[in-house]
Amino acid sequence: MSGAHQEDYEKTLFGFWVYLITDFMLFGSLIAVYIVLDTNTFGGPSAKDLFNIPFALIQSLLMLSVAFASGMGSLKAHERNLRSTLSYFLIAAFISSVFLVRIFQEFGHVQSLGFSWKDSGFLSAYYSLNGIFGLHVILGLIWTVLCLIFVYIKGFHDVSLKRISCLKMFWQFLNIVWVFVFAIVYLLGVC
Amino acid sequence: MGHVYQTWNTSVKRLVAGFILSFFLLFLMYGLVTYNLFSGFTLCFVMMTIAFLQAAVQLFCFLHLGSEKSPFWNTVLFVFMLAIMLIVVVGSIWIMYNLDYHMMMKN
Repeated sequence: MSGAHQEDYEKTLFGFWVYLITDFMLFGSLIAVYIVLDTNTFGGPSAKDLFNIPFALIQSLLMLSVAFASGMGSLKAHERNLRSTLSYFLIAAFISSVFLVRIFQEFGHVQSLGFSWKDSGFLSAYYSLNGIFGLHVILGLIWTVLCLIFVYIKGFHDVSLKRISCLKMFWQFLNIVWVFVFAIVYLLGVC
Repeated sequence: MGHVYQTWNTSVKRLVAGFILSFFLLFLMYGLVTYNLFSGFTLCFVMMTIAFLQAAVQLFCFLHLGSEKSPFWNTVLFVFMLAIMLIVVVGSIWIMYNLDYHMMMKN
């Protein structure tokens, strides 16, 4: 009985890992596009004019905290500790919503300077990359809330543990993608 | 009901170690740029090395990439994806740079 459950759990996690691999490829393509169009500013602003490195550093630290909190939450879930699991994932949800708000703040900052994604290849690539990243964060947030409600109501059994493990993998995947976005878009952009 | 499904040995130690290492690598990247220690191509190379290092730390410590059982499918799949993405990303940059160069007006 537990053998079948174990196999089901492992298969689900592997399937989710395959999805994350394809998502890595999605972001890889977006980053490739960004690198190619980095200098196509068409007379408009460039990365130097728009991006603020301390801002991006704080984004990176926020994302790292989300990944860590998710890891701890998943650990506590496997120990069947309901309160700790909920706390850690709620912390992750809160920090990622702060992250999300700051991404929109940066979009707003660029727009307040009078530029939009239609103005150049560089801006278009930047908005696409950060926009799709933000979309992933939004979906992760919705998923976290739903998952926590489910775990709170149903307790820990096979389905809950599978979902929590997948959720943890998702946040940690986003963190890895953000490392590259931070290095390529913000750090190398401003140099 | 008490069956633990994890296929790897997670521990708080590994998570905290990953967190501290990543934290340090982030500040290293930030410091390299803020204090202008390198520039140009060297900077790109160092930055990407640190970024890949940080990704490796997170894959190993947070996602437990190398720690699965014998056929190591997760790792194999990831390495395969890396190979493909290397071709796509480096290839795109190379080809577009070449295109740019050949389309430039020759004065």
